[in-house]
Amino acid sequence: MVLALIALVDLPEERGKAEGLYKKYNDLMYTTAYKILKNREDAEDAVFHAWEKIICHMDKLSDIDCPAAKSFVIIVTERTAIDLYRKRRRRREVEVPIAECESSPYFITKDQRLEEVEFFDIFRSLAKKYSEVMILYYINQFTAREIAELLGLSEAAVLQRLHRGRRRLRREMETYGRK
Amino acid sequence: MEENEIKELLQIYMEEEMKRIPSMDTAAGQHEFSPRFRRRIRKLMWSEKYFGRKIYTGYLVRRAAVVIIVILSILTVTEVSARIFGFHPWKYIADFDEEAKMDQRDYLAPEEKVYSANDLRKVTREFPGYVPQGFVLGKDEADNYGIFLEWHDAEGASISYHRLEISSSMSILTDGEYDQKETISIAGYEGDYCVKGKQSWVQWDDVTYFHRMDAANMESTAEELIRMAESLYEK
Repeated sequence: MVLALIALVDLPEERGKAEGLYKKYNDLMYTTAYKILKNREDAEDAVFHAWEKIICHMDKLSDIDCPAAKSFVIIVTERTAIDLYRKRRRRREVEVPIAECESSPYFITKDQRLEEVEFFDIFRSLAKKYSEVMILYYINQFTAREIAELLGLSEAAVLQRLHRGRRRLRREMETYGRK
Repeated sequence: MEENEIKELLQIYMEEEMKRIPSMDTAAGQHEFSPRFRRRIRKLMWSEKYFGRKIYTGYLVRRAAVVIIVILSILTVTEVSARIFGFHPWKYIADFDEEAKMDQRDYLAPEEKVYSANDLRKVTREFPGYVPQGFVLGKDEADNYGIFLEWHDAEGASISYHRLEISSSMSILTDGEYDQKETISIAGYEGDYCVKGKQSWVQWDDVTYFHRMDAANMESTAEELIRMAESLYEK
């Protein structure tokens, strides 16, 4: 029993990462969740559940300071907030346009330097539901099954979104190349 | 467009975009997280600290530890209470349950029963012919089914006599918990003499009645109670 329990526990170097992540990203996660849920308690709940998911998949994070870690944290928080919103929709007084939120670009920051790089517009125009899956797959190196688990989707849905995202990206890139 | 190319471009773009998003959001800095959130996060971090990614194992161990601590605390409190105050809650609960034990006596109506020669003696008196010295009759109640008599002495001891007429399919429940139980004979009828703390009683059935005599706060009650009982059959 004790041996089985010990076998379940991660190695010491794999433990204790969460505290560093928490200090660095908790406020950002709260803001991300609040933007979707417009409610403090719900936003805190979403952040907590997002932390549970992040910790369960923390082996994929080699460096907590890298941009990949930040994008991972944002994606998980946003998806958790959207899921929570759907669950609690019935008692929500303010209608939040979730469908619009999902189809909007993932990155919404405006920067003159980035505006100048034309192919960034292509990524920016990609709907969030495609870009989040692509980032987790290509940048964070998650498998389709892991992404499905993390985002609460079926594996088939993840593969479909990956496929469609790639197709759109290729199409846009071809157009961009012709220009 | 190759997979590697997609990955490369996505990486460049994502890194640039992430630089624009501050990790420590200033707007959230003004938000004070609720005690509930902080409590939950503390639990989560504890689990992560000791169990890594297996936080649910951590939760499980934490819950199991809480259950074990609660059980140990109850056992400790019970033991302390028993040793210091002389009150053992668990034993009290168990005893309370045991006290519910009752002896059930089921009867046939007198006309349905086959009697032996010994069964022929019948009660001849309403009151016992013998009552221990110093006891004064306090209660004398009777109805269609039986009688109830009670005597007291000056030192607080008491004796009561309860008699019920046996009827068809009658059942009588009596205390099934006692320190001592002996089989005795009252006017040829088999009966029981029971002792429980400072209480003792004799109970028996004859042709017509169920009898019970209780004594409280008395010494050497067996002889006195049997003598009182026998006196009911004296002419």
